[in-house]
Amino acid sequence: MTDKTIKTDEADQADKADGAGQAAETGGADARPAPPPYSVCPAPGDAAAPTTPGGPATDPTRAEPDATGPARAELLGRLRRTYRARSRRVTLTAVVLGLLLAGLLVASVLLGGLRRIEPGDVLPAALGLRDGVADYTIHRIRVPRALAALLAGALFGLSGALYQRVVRNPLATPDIVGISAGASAGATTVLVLLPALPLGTPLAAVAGAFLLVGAIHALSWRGGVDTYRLVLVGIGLSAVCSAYTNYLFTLAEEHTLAAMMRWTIGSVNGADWAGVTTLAWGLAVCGAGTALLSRRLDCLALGDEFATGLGTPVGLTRTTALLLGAAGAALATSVVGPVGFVSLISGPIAVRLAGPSRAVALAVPVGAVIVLGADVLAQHAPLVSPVPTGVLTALLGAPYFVWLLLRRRQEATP
Amino acid sequence: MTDPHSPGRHPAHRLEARAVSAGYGSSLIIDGLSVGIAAGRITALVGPNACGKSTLLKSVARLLPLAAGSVLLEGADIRSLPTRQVARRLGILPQSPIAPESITVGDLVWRGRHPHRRFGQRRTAADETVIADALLATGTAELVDRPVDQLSGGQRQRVWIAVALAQDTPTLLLDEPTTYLDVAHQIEVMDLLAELNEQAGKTIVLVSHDLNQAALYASDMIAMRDGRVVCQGPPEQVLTEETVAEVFGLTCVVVPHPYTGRPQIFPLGRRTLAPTSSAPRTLIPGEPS
Repeated sequence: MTDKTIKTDEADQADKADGAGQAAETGGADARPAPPPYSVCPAPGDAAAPTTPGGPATDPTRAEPDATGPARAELLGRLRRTYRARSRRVTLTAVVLGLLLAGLLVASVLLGGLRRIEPGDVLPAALGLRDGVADYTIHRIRVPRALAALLAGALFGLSGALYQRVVRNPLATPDIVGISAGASAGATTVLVLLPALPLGTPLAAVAGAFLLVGAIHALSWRGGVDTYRLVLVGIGLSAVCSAYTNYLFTLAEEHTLAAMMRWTIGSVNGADWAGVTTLAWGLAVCGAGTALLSRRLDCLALGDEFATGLGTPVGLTRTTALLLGAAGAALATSVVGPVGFVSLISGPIAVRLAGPSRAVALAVPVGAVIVLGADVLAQHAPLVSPVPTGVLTALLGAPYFVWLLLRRRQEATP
Repeated sequence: MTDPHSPGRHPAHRLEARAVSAGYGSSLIIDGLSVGIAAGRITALVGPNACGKSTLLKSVARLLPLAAGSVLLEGADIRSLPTRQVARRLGILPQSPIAPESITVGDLVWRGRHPHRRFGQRRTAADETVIADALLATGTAELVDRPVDQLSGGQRQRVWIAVALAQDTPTLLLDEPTTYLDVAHQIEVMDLLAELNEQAGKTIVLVSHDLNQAALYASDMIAMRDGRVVCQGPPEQVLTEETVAEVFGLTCVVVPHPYTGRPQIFPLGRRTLAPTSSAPRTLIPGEPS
């Protein structure tokens, strides 16, 4: 290869020596060329000769057909095997997570005993086909609780992975940059200061979350979202919101304190079908939006400039993804409260399980498994139960958060 | 003499900046700059720091919004073309692209196919062929299953070039592709670019800080200073003592490369020119008196 390059360059030189009598031949003071015109010098036609004398070749493998032919075929086979293995790993991970979720759902409904309920009535009761105790225990309490845990976890996982992907920072998740804290502040404001308002705390939580997202973006805007400032501003505003919520605690009547607890720790206890419906719609919308964006998000992961070069509208993609992530986190928080650290750990776990290419999609079942699993433990594990779900996810997630801060590698994103 | 590298239906200039002004925030780095880049060549943009060469490259690649002027890609205004269509004709390797954590070489190179995929379309045999060719051309075929974050700097840069090749564009822009590499890896990357130009007929534009490498590998050089083009032409016309003095404010001596005859510079710093210097000054050809 090197030989060829040199030879062609020599050919160049020969061509040029004929033409213009270039001074580069000797480099001596006498033979130096006249100063070049300080503008665009020659017409392209009479500049250096083309590097390939025979005209442009189009096939990159043309030069060494014998060497590359079999190598290329072998590489093609290897590529196909590689990509197939990757797809299989993603599918396998999804199936295992799905089975795990099914098992956790069953455990969540059945654990805690079936006093005065016939085993044969459980499934019909879950579908709302029985009355009395079976209906109350299974259909009103346990099934919505399990489904709320599953769906909220899925939304937390999705919104966290979206933020991490778009901001390219493993710390930039809705719970860390304060979206959950904003939701808590909104909900507790209504609980404590405006109890007469028919607004409802979930709506207030969504409003609080979006106010906070707006504030973060306004403060970190520099002709585009400055992702580094976004994280710092978010952590600051999160602290402000927490302080505000704690202040409200001192104003609260005794009977609202219990309701307020949910907005500081997060728990799926007491979730009802209305909450489940909200979460299901939220997951459907955010999931569909993410699916539509997924390839652009893959490009965005390579950096803004490379993504633009690949034909991705960077600003639009980032704004849409951040809005979807914020909406998902706000809706999940509005139903189950700020269940901590789920959005932080789901994405990186998905990367560890099946690589970065399907991490955002796999963060959905990962988040669902974490919250549902944590809720089953929170209800039934010996020694600790019963505790709010958020306590267990924080126990799991906080050490990881510290480890992440200590490790803090530049390119650690899903 | 016509350029055998530009097929008849293409204009001679693959890329053209017309009175382009661009910069960061409110300050313009380049203002009203016009320059044409010929098809089928390697063009090197050289100049001191902050002279606007990267700004020019980024404006031409639509990575920076233009404050004024226009960029023509194969004769059409780049802003009038859908961005994905531009991405099928013009590839750009920025200075510091980001590899997602633990992504493998095969998956990363596959992402270069993005502009050629329709929505929901799966990987085709044609995609796989282009990816295989990109891996073979860059000598990264044996790294397919390796995570990118475990590679050496030289390997990683070749993998990024493979991603840009998978994009399969006739024109490729590179922003300082050899910075941060040791000299052997630099030559490796430059040889690779020369082969792509020679064998696949790709038009290559690169920003370089190494004048000697640029003169060795480029068929055209564009020397810039303070946001304007000082001189454009073949290395023999651009890499002269006068131009280097004007562009860099550096005294140097230019001698032909012993193998290729291309001009190579030797900078003459204050120490080299000092009377106490132990350098055998009488042997230096073209020494300024």
